[in-house]
Amino acid sequence: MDTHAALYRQGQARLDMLRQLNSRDGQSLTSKMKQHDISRRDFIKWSASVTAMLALPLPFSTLVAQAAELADRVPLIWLHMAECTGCSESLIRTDTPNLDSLIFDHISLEYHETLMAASGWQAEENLEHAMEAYKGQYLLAVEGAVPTANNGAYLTIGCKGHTGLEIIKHAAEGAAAIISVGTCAAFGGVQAASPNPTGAKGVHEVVDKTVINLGGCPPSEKNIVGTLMYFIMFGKLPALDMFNRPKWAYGARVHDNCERRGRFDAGEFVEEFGDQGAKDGYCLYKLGCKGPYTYNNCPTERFNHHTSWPVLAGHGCMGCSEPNFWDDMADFEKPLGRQLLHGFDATADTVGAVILGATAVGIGAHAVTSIFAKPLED
Amino acid sequence: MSKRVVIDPITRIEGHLRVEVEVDENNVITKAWSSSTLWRGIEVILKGRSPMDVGLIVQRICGVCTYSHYRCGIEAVENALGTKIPLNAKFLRSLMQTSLYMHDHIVHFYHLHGLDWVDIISALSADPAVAAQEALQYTDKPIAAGEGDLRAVQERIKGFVATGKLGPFANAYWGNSTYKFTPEQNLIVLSHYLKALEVQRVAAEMLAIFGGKSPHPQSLVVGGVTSVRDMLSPARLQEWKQKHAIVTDFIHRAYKADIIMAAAAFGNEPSVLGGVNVMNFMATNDFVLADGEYMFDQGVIMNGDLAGVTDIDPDLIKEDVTHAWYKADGAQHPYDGTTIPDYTGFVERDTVYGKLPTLDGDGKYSWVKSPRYDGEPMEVGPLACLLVSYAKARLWLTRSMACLKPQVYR
Ligand code: SF4
Ligand code: SF4
Repeated sequence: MDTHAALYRQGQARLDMLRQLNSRDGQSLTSKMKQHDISRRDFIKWSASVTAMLALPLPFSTLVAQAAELADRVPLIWLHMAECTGCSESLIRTDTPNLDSLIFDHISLEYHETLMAASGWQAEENLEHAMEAYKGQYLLAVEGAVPTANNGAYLTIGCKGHTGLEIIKHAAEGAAAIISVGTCAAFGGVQAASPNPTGAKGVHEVVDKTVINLGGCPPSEKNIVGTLMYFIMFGKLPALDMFNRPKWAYGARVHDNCERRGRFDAGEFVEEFGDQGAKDGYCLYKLGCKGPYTYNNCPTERFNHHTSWPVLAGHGCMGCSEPNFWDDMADFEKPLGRQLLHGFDATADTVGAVILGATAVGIGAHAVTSIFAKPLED
Repeated sequence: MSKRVVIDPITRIEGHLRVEVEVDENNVITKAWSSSTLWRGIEVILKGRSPMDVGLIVQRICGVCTYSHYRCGIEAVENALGTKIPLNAKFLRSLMQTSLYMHDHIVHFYHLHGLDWVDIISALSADPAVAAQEALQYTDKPIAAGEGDLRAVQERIKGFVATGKLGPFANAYWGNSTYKFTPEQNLIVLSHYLKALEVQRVAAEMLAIFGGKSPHPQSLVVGGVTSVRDMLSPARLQEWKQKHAIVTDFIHRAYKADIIMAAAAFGNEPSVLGGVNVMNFMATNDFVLADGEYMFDQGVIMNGDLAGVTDIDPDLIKEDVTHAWYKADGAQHPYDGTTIPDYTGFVERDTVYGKLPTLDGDGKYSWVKSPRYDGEPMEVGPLACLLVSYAKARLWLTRSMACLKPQVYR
């Protein structure tokens, strides 16, 4: 484990190295912030909140600020595989100040099919050029699963008709780091749900490099940008859990930070959507909330400028940042009961322990007792 | 001699799209094919699952129109079960639909389609003072189009272009004669392109208020809507209203003005004067005004015959796979529909870029099935919505068409 002092020195060295590289975007972040009416004070606040989110001590916020300024040295290639573009859409709906998205256009965005002006032959040229010119330096972000059945024929991209599988393998070769954005790219996602007709797989299953998995359907823009900032700062991967998700974002259970947790503990459950309990904000466990099995920061960070998250909107968590959740967490409106999850008994204490590699966090006995604290039928 | 042009990927859309055209010696398109080059198999995956989960799964068809498939999936199940939902739930669904409608139109107009008709490089040579005057022709209170705003935008983009690294704007078609705007007009829309990035975030927040998040809201269930607490909170309703006002203001003072400006500049294009290709339109009921009353009416117009508008007969809808990579004996009604992949690949041939794999236009060439109504292709979407309601003489619509006309053609 890095001590913080060593990590700080490492970040400092990395940023010095980036400073040697040419800026790709000419205009400094400071002048961009001015055009967006973002004050220095907002920027310092933002850096501090990213630092806290990344679970780093406050002094690191100067590093975060420097890394943001140097983001224009890092070329980014963003590829779309079998997906719905929800992850890209998540990215453009960012927080206030709009720094998260600003960082994104501050980064040297070489290829992104949803945003780029060029199409067809010219788009393909952009991709080939970026992979050649920045070989070994570019960050590769992937949205969507890779269809592998039938030699990958279920997805072709570009005039040359290459399969998604060929393109990913090729792009992975020259990448400095690979980030799977969203559950599709990380674990296969919806198209990999049984019977997985296209043989859809997560990126890490088809390339032989480490891949950072940002679970979520889609993940929040904070989790995407935070991971980017970490890479820029340290040039290496953050601490990951057993599914290669950054611990700073996916290290806590939804259930543990949920605002309805008190209701769960008191055994107060919504029995039916729209009942009095639903109006009073009771716990959604009995209507299928998968918060007890799901690792993500939704209850603390929420979505869309902290506007809401599913449980606040009265719907259970569906476990969307977990591998195979489309199969393992269904039915979404029913509690899991005692079925197996990732090979463990879903109601056992061990789920949390194994995933985090940390001390046991109790679901099982706890959930069962609180459910029966009240008679099931009223 | 006809030549083949291949365009793949078509960018700034959701999904994977390939278009191929054949042009004659005068570079006029004589034939065209469009192909979706991705199959995910959602229909196959849905089989055997709980109907309650269908909405959440089909929602993942598209993250751009993120609410539409969710709602349709849920309402299909309600329809099959004969479930009636409370009027308040209908209103809430309409508020969410409104949020998406506003969001999606802005993003589509500026961030997706915009770069096809706004020449960013041309905007650099605009005179901001002249542009500010020009903006006043289309609305008396333009947003982000005062001389100072426009100068700041121009400087920002100038700095960007000077680096020679254009990022997402690289290797595009700037300077092509199909861009019709003057430099000043380009600068106005460019400024709105940037402003719209902020406004669309507000529109997304509107959807999140009752949907929990956007994209992919999560508050509909078979039988109603789960966000009762938000619905019962005056503060939440007010929050929605306030954001609605911000977005509406942008629509009136920027988006609508830009449409009028574009209509004048692009009004003589063959693609406009040539009329529509498919003259059949279909729309469904949308936006509840009161129980059983909708802003947009359902209906079908065949062969451009507005007077002959009829109600939709769902039995006439079929999906054809003659040219899609699936096996089936003839067109199928969705109730009996099958989805059995039958990939036949590309055909190698000469193109303007040399030998390439190309679409087999006579055989199968796309992962999208061809939906037909009474055997005919139909246009659906915004134009169809307006035409069907117009044909049914919706009073609000005839009125607003009347006030729009003189502006468009002046
Ligand atoms: S993870 Fe979800 S939001 Fe992202 S591409 Fe896949 S289906 Fe869409
Ligand atoms: S079960 Fe769901 S609603 Fe209940 S406390 Fe846990 S996360 Fe919150």
